[in-house]
Amino acid sequence: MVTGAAIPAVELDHVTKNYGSVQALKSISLTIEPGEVVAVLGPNGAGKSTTIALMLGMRRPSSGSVMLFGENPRLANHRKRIGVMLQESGVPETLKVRELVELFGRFHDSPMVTQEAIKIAGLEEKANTRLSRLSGGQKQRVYFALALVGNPDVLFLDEPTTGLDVEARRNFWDQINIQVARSKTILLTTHNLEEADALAKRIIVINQGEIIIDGTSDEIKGHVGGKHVRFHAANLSIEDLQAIAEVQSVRLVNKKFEIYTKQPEAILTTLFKDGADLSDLEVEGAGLEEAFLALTGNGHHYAAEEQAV
Amino acid sequence: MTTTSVSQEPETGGATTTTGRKAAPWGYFFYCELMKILRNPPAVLFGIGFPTMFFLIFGNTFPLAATSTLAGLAAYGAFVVSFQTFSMSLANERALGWNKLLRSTPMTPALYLGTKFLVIIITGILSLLLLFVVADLNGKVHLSLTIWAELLGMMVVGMIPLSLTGIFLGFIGSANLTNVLATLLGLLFSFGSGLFVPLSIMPSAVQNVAPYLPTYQLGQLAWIIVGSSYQDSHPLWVHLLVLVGYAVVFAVLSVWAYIRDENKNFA
Repeated sequence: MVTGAAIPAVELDHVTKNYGSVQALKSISLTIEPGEVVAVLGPNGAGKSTTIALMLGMRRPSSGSVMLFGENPRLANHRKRIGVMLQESGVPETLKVRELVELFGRFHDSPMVTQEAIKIAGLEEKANTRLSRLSGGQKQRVYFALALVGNPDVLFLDEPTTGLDVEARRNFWDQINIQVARSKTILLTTHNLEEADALAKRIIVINQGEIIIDGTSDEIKGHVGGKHVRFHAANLSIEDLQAIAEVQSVRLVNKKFEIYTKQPEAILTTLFKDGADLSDLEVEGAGLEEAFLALTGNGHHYAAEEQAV
Repeated sequence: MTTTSVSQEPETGGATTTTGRKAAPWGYFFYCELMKILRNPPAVLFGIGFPTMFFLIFGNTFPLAATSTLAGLAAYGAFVVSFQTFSMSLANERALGWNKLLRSTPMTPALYLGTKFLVIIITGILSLLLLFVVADLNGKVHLSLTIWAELLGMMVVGMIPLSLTGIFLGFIGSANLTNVLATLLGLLFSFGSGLFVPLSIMPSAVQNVAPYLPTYQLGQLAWIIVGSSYQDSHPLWVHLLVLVGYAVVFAVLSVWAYIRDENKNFA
């Protein structure tokens, strides 16, 4: 970037987005500088796709401001500088891979040679094949080629590896890392912590329309390395367990308590010291979604709902 | 593209080869749109092939009315492409998310719609030319080159208001709804306007409703040009005027449907 070293690639300032009565985003603020590689990480329905749609000018914020290259993202001339992979977007099935890639190259001022984008996406053998004859994974690679072919300044990749098998996912990561090495600005969304870690230096965790953490992958991993502790205990209540300092959240599942914590040993020590009568005890690594619940404090709220049922 | 920006984007120091090409994407987009129609068997069959097929059936069955049949089927050809093919293509691409992906490119919705409209007109012309050539070779229709040209020109003009009905239908609802309505209304309007079989042998209720249909006006234009006995007592300009009225109404309705879709999916 020569012209706009001081201008952020993307800037969201106190952005909210409502769909009818549903609040998809609650006051999101973030800045992405040129050359940054950022993963927006969150469970399904967290607001990741909405965030990208706002950045691309496909949706209008309900309040707050969204800037792409320092201007309104709804201006069409900015789109020569971006490459995009979207969820829930399709391409005409009667067109051939080469034709689509060629078309998207022509949308930009200095595109790659069409054949090169096809090669990067690993579609050389399918170049003259119609889209209707490709598998889901192959189509996903076509979308990647469409995003890359324009040599864009910024790549927006919304859940780029959804539907790919493990090997295809690894290949995809290698390709992304080549783009990272070329100092492209990249913003990708994922619900996979491993993927965010493999690709991005900066990870923004969002859940229920809010940014929970914005930091390096090490910082994030420190937050999500929690465990589930489950047991039966007739003489204990949810309130008793919440009173223990190391407990991040508690809920009742099938009459068993389920605690989310990063220090299961400390909790069990406390419980045994208090003479708690535990049975069917199990300790298990918790998934990312549970970590989000704990991080947002929604675990307690969730527990209350489950009890009411 | 309307803007031919030649400004060189500052590039990242990558090792990728760039073409350095500044060619406007519009021409290639047009090519892709045309390929989409020509590689789509139902579109080719219904849009381009049906009028000719019907002519070979009806024209040969009633040789004395061959010229009137031809004119009616010319109107049908112009109608089915601009109403049915157009609305289905728009609705299906909305369902597919193609227009969504295009929104991330410099392609504007107006350019997208304009290109599709142009391709529809070209498809209509292909359909009409096929019909005309087959009808002429078939030997039962004898028209001068001037009349052929007038008929073609008038049908292309008629495609403008009918394309607006197609745009309206393409944006009004889901792809399923559009596909059902387009097929059903396509048949009802064509039969109800006497484009397949003469109105005179239809029940009087159909005859009474017919003048309110846009396809009736298009049929009248065709029959007046070939001097058919199927024409009513109104002069050509009256039918044109009614079609202009249709164009205005459906332009407004199309804008409404478009904004409604826009507010639902892109606001």
